[in-house]
Order: sequence, then structure tokens, then C-alpha cells
Amino acid sequence: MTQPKQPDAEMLSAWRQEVRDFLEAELPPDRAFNTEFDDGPEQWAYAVEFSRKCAARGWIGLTWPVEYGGGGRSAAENQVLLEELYAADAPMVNSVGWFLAAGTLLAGGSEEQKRELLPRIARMETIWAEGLTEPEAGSDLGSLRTRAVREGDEWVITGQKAYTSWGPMSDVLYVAARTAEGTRGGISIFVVDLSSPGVTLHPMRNFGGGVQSSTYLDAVRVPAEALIGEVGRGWDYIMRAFYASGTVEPIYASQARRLAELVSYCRSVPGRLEAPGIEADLAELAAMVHAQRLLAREVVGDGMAGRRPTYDGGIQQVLAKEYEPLFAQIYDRVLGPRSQLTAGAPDALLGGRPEAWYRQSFANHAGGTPQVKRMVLATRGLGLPR
Amino acid sequence: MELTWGEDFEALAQVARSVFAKDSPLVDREGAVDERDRHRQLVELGWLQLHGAPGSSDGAGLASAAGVFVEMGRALAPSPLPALARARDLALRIDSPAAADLAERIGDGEEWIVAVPLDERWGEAPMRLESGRLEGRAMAVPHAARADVLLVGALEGDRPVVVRVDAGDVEVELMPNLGERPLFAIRCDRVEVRPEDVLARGEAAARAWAVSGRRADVMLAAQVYGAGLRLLDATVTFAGQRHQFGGPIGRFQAVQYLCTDIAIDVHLTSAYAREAARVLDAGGDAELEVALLRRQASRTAQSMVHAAHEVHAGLGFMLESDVHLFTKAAKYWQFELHHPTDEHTIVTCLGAETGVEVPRESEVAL
Ligand SMILES: Cc1cc2nc3c(=O)[nH]c(=O)nc-3n(C[C@H](O)[C@H](O)[C@H](O)COP(=O)(O)OP(=O)(O)OC[C@H]3O[C@@H](n4cnc5c(N)ncnc54)[C@H](O)[C@@H]3O)c2cc1C
Repeated sequence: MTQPKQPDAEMLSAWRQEVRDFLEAELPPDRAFNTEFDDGPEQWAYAVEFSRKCAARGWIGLTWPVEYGGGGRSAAENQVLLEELYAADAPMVNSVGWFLAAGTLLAGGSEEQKRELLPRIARMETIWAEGLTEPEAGSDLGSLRTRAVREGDEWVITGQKAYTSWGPMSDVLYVAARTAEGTRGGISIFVVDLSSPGVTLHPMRNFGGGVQSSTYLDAVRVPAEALIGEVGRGWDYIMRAFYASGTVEPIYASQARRLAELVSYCRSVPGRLEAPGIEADLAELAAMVHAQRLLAREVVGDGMAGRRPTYDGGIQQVLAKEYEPLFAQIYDRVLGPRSQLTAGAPDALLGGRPEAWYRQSFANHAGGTPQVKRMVLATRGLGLPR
Repeated sequence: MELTWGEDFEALAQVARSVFAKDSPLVDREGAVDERDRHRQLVELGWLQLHGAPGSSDGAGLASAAGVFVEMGRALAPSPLPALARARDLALRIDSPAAADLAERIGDGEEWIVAVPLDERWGEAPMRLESGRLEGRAMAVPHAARADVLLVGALEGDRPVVVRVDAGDVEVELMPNLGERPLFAIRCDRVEVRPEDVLARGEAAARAWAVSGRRADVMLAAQVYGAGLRLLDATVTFAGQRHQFGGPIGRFQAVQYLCTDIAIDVHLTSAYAREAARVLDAGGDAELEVALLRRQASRTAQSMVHAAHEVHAGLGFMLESDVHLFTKAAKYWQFELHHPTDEHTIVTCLGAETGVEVPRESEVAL
């Protein structure tokens, strides 16, 4: 595998412009949306179509080796791409395929699996859902109980997964299942076709306006090749996909755009900026965005250079989780009482979007809670006892 | 030396608990109870006359009436009581037979009357009364679509007034909001005002608005307190029952801090509310006490739902959990209780009686 060429600042800014030009041409402003929440059928169809356009440009799997359908580009370019997509609230779907599944395949998939499954993700041919969490295994993922038992040429999987996002719209489920006792060594990863007999989804609505499902796996039979990588290596794959990818989900890019809208609004209302506390709050929001942007640059840079991060477990991840709801709360404070008006209300500000952002900000637990991120930082990063 | 609720607080709270138990989104998400039935019930219970003017025989006093409002908050009950009580309180504070008559009609349930205070926090300029015509717009008026009469705050020149307006003369527009509250924008398009409908002017009007507003805010804070108690209970229960890593999550200090954050903020809200109610019941103007209370209650409304979401994690984000119902209700409280000038008031009012004795400039060694 050849190392990607490291881009200089000029190349990165030309690349940023290329992505921006594409988004400007392809993404009507009213189509921008947060795929995690607004997943009605029409929006979803549009998002898939839009994501396929990005796929056709080779943007999904930008950093993967070319032999697996990737672009062989640097992590820095990938971060720039993601920043621009987030800044535009671009309706990109299949993030589970793009990050968790691909990360796992790259970390441990067989050569055949990499050649078969990764290009399908890159071309947006297979949409993945994530089957990690269970009713009794949230933060303590290692205690999961879904079982996979080998029977001849097949695996038989039984268990229940919780909070599956995009389940009904996905083709396959990334399933972490127990193949032996214990965390390390006891968990294996499977790809399960969601149309298999024995799979049932029970959707439930969330506060953000979207849906998660309870996913029941009742003696679901999958072929031997559905095991990704090796038996019992699942925990390592998940951790590598989550913690060591050299990529940062740039929520800060979307926050930066919202902050710009907020400052413009404040400037448009005489006396607003001078009202008590407003500048202090705006500065706080700006600092949140700025800190995350700097730490993202650090994480990506460390990843590219193969440097060990200052703290394992990542201060960046802690801040991202903690800032998400706080950002929305301070934002509303600046906007004032009209921030509670919903889209379509006559006096709603900024199209009523802040009301939705506020609700959605309480989804900060997806992918791990702030408290657990701190616990990981304390134990892995600072070496405190568990 | 005591800081307690009023004498009848418990008795009223007990009745209120059973009344609101059935009319709560925590029990019935669809909210099948009709607003008119709610009104009828309030009349039957005599709660529209719950807290009256200081020195008057009617009413239980704020420190006792709070029992009803605490329970209303605990149930997140969508009762029109606060809006109607606010209007009656305003009318009671105006020294005129016409105002007394309006207060009586609200109390008897004959008319549905709501107040439209002079309030620029929603971004509208104050309404104006000029040459017998009322002009302008006001936002977030609760229950305005049901009202027969509005008591409107406006400026006549630079003097505040209280004007009686027939609801039929104004345009009413729903303001859909996170908490799904019946909030309305009203517009007066050169509405004709008869001289006798200007109920108060100048200093008298300003005082009636200020005092009735402060009293209403104490009752609003009491609702935050009630809701907070329920949310605290739900969160502590969850922390005891939800197991991760081989035991209840409540044994993690990270979770304990979140639960105690709720307890501290909710309790402080109650402490400030009891003090403000005491001072108002004694006929004081409670400017400082109410400013301190509003600042705390507004913060509590935000902080308690934040902490509850943190503890409930994924489950709290699902509509099947009740947490979001508190989040929706609290948003309105947070803003309704937030007055940007309160911090200034607090600093200005510091003095011996607040326990913060500020030396005169000449005595300070800088
Ligand atoms: C919008 C959304 C989408 C999601 N999508 C998916 C998906 O597609 N697929 C999937 O598999 N999962 C998904 N999840 C689940 C998500 O990963 C879990 O919610 C998350 O891991 C937390 O688990 P939990 O909700 O069970 O909380 P719990 O683990 O029960 O946590 C409850 C509380 O206990 C605290 N706590 C737990 N352990 C500790 C500790 N050791 N120290 C201190 N505090 C602790 C937590 O911080 C929290 O405050 C989604 C969640 C959300 C909100």
C-alpha cells in the first residue's frame, strides 16, 4: 500500500473550493438536512441520490487504498471534505458503512472481504446499519449478549439490538455478537442481510424527529463469510474503528455555520449585540467551535504522522459530546424566547431551525456518553485506576 | 427563623395532586381533557380566587396558593389557571370599580380574561394608545384564542396604561412552539378604546403591572419547582434501576453529580420562591427577592432537563421516555422567567437586608 501524498495548504484550500463548488451546484438550500433525524421517505430518497453523486466522484472512502475502491488520498483531505459536508448539512447517508464498517474491514477484513465489500460502500451500493448497542449493553458494550453459534457452513445469530438508526432503510446490519465469554476475545463481527428470515425491526420515534429501531435477531442464519475478519477479534476492530481512525466527525463545522447565522441575526437587530451577556455568550460559542477545530487538526495530523496522541481516549471526543447540548443551549439564550418557535411559526427566527437543533442536541449520547468518554480519558489517557 | 411555605400549602397541594393527576401529559399523552372543562373545574374548586390582594379576605396568600402551582408543575398540567390568575391579580391591583368587576367575573368563571403585559422580550415594540385608538402587536399571550376580554398593557406617550379590550376586536394568531403551549400573537389595528376602558394610567398602572407580574412569576417558579421534583425523582429512580458494568449507574460519581445538580437547583428554586412569596404576602414589593428567584428558576428550568438527559442517555432521547415532556415544558419557563435586567436589579439592591453590606465608596481601600 503506497502512502498518500501529504497535501500542502494550497492544495487543501483548492480541494476545499472544489467541494464547495460541488455543494453549491448540487445542493439546493432547502434540501440540506440532518440525516440522523429527518428521515422521511422522500428526504431519504433524495439523500441517497445525493450521496450517490458524491460516491460517483470517489469521495466516499477517499482515504482507502485504490484497490478497494478508495481514492488513496490523505486524512487531511478527508477532513476537509467532511468539514464542508457538515458545514452545508449535506444529506450524506451510510455513515455506518463509511466509517464503522469500512474501519473494521480495513482493520481486520480478509483480502476477499475488502475487495468485495469496500467498493460496494464506496459506490453507495450497500447501506449499513449499526447493531452494537443492546437493551442491557449501552455504555458497557462489552457485556453484549447477542450470540452467534457456528452450525456447519453457517452462523446462527440470536439476540436483540437497541437504537438501530436507519434500520428500515438499510441493506445490512453490522452485528457485534458473542462467540465466546469475555470482552476481548469473546466478540465477533458479522454482516447480516436485513432481509434475512428472523430479522424484525420495531421502530420508535425520537425527540429529534427521527427514528431508531429495536432490532430482533431470531436464529438468523448467515453464511460463514459473513464473519468479518477473525473470530473473537471484534472488540479490537470496534475500538480501532472508533478511536484510532485519524478522522474527526466535524460537528464543529455545522456549528460554525449556525454561529455565523446567529451573529448575522444579532447584527441585524439594533441593540442586540449590546444587550447584557450577549457578546459573552457569542464568544463562548465561538470558542467551542474553535477549540474543536484545533483539536481536529491535531488528531488528523497525529494520525497522518503516526504520532501517539497526547492523551489516549481523546479530549476532542469528550468536548464534542459535552459541547453538543451546551452549544444549542447557549445559542437559544442568545436568540431569546423566539428560539422556542417551531418551523412555520409566524415569528420563528432562522426558519425555526434552532428549535429543532435544540431537540436534536440531546442525541449527544449516540456513539458514547460524555461521562463514559471522560472515564476513558481518565483511565486510558491519564492512567487513573478503573 | 424559618423558611416555609404557607399554612394551607399542604392541604391545597393534596387536592391539586388528585386534580392534576388525571390531566397530565405524563399520564395521557394525547391530552383528551377539553380546556373548557378545565376552566369549569377551576371555578368549582374556587381556585380562580385563590390568591387575592394583600389585606383582602379572599385568597390564601401566595405562600399557600403555591401548593396548587407546585402540583401543576409536578404533573406538567396544561391548566389555564396561571393565565387567568394573572389577569385577576392585575385587576385586583387597580383601584377602580370597573377593574373590581372584571376581577370578580374572572373569579366566578363568567369571563375568560387574560393579561397582555408590556413585555419587549419577544422583540415587539410596546403597544400604543393614541387618540383613543390602540395600535400594535404583542407576542406569547397564553390562551388568547379562548379569551373574551384582554387586559392590555400599552404606552400612552411615555406613560403605561392598562386597557380593557374585547377579544373580538383583535387579531389572534397561534405561535406554534416547542412546548406546544397555547401561545398567541395578538394584533390591535387601531382598536377603538372608550375612555372608561382605560383602567389605569401612569404610576398606578406601572405598579399594578409590576406587582401582579412578580406574583405571577412566583407561581411560575413554583411550577418549575414541582416539575423539578418529579424529574429528580424519575432520574434518581432510573439511576438506581439501570445497570451497566455490573451494577446501578447511580454508583458512578459522574451520575451522582448529575442527580445532585438537579436536586440543588430545584431546591434553591423552592428556597427563593418561599422567600419571595413570604415578602409579597407581607405586602412588600419583593423586587430583589423576585429577581433572585427568576434568575435561579430560569437556570433550573434549563439545567434540570440537561442533567436528566445526561443520566437517561439514549433512552431519554426516545419519545417513549417522559424526559422530553419536561424538556418541552421547561423551555417556556426558562425564557418566561428570564429578565435581562434582573442581574442589574440584584446588584443595585444589595444592602444590609440582603446580608451583603456594601461599604460606601469613601470607606473602601482600593
Ligand atoms: C440518536 C441515537 C442514535 C443511536 N444509534 C445507534 C445505532 O445505530 N446503533 C447502535 O448500536 N447504537 C446506537 N445508539 C446507542 C448509543 O450508542 C447508546 O445510547 C450509548 O452507547 C449509551 O448507552 P445507553 O443509552 O444505554 O446509556 P447507559 O449506558 O445506560 O448510560 C446511562 C448513564 O450512565 C452513565 N454511565 C454508564 N457507565 C458509566 C461509567 N462507567 N462511568 C460513569 N458513568 C457511566 C452514562 O454516562 C449515562 O449518564 C444510538 C443512540 C442515540 C441517542
